[in-house]
Amino acid sequence: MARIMKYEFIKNRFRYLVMIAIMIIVEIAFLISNAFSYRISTGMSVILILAGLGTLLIVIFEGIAMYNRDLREKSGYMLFMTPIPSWQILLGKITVILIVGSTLFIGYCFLGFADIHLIASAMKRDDPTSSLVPAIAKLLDSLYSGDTVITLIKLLICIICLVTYLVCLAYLASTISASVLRGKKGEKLISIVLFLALFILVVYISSKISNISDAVSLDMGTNGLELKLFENFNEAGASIIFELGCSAAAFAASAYLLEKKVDV
Amino acid sequence: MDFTNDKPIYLQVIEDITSRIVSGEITAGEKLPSSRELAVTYRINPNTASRVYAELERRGIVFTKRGIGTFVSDGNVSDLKNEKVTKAVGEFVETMRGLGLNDKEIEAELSAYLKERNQNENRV
Amino acid sequence: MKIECEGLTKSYFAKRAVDQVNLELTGGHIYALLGPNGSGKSTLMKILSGLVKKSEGSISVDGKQLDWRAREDISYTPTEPFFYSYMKVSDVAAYYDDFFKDFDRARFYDLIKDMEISPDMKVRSLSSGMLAKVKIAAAMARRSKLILLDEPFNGIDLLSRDVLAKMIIGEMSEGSSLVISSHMVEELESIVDMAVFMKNGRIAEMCDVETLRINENKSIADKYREIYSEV
Repeated sequence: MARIMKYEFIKNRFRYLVMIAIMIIVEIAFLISNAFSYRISTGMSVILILAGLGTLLIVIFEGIAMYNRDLREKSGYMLFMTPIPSWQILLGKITVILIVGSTLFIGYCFLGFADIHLIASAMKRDDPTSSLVPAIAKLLDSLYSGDTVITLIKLLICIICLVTYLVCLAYLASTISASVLRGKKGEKLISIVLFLALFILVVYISSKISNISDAVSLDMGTNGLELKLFENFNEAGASIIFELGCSAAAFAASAYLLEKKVDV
Repeated sequence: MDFTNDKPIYLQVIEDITSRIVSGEITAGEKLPSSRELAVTYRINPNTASRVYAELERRGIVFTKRGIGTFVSDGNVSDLKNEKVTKAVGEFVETMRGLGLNDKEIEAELSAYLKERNQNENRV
Repeated sequence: MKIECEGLTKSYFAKRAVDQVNLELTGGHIYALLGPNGSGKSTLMKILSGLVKKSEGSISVDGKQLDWRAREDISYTPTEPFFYSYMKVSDVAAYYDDFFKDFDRARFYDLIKDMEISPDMKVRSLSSGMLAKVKIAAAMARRSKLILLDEPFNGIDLLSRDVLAKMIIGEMSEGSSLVISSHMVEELESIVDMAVFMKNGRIAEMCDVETLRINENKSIADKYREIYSEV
């Protein structure tokens, strides 16, 4: 499987490099703007965090698109002619998406939050009367109200869970349409529809299992902006187990179809 | 080598090799290429190449020393030449007969042709 | 080495691309897989390579069911360019080396060394003749029990075809088998020793090339015309 992962990295290396380059460029923009305007630099740090989210979604999307291409185009020959069982191929692809997506996302967010810290301490020093100072201070306080490490672990678990079931469901939808509708019109449309159907189903059942809508909340509390992360996390446990279970089922089904039914 | 479609390929390769032995291109006692090399040179299937050597060995034209190679046998050249001559004459006669000539006419045509050819060569 | 297909069938909705094929391939032969477009040659090859999955029937490789493990011993080379577009020739060698235990990198470079192909060249910038050489060299540098070449001579110039033919003849391993599918029947005449004719997804006939010449005075091309002409 390590070999599969190696080549999945190599196939995508240009895209990944671009994403890292963007991270560096925005960070430099932040550092420059921090010298003269805290409003702009605050904006930069928010962009970093949003970009982190965007990057994660792009990595997921690209990973799914690449799998589709491998199934339907000549590029798949190189991959599927190797003496590797289908489940290992799928697992290798999913793992790469998880590792790269998580790393980039964490990288962006880490920079974003570090930058907010920088702004906060610089502002306290230079412009203590600004209204932003207590607001940011309150934000950071609520962030650290619990155990930071635990919070980060919870965040990581949520990301992994989300990425995993998104990718597994998408792979399943792709594989099903490739095995049944090979070459027919509307193959792509069907796989998108199928994916959405599966996704909505999983999210619906998941939300019925436990109420995790308050996982991340940003409130205007009595003292200003409050950020609560994962306060109801333990209740979400059942949901997460369900979602991971769905992922496993989708993965197993995809692997079976790929091994026995899908023509490349 | 271009192969004709009506005869087995291995026989055509044998023809070529024996011609070269008769003409002196390949000398008695000379080491021949390995079966694989023969296949590549003639652009033929390796099994066909093996068959060529097997048949040549059966006819006594070559012999194989295990681990060393295949060699042209001594003392075959005149026999091979005679074989080829007989065969060529036979083909000629059959062709002429097929055209409706009898033996006398065949000899007459042959003499006339040779005479004219000699005259042309002397002029040059 | 023995590959046995029994009742092998591949159906696409209403159509049977491969229809109840019974075939036995043994080691030490070069097979020509012949037939017009749509006869099922390519599908049959892809089934043997594992890229297309059979609908019915059985395939066994040395007694074992054909599955992903068989890809260790079976090599398939498609007609079209199929290397990843970012790859250089050296990357192709590295990839094959990574995934196939029987790949001999030194042998691969040896095979392409006299052809003005340098390891640093990008595969997408190679001419069709050069690309064909790289593809076949990669296939032959593996010591697979079964080598499948899908129309390797398509669109290749005469001199390159000669080079490829010599590569195939010269590099065949003892006990291995090689199957070439091609439209160029005359080109294959001397290279192969067995001819398999496919028609409408079925095996119309299989014969030994030399035996055909000895017994029926026919070449493969003659047999081809005999089988496929609409009478």
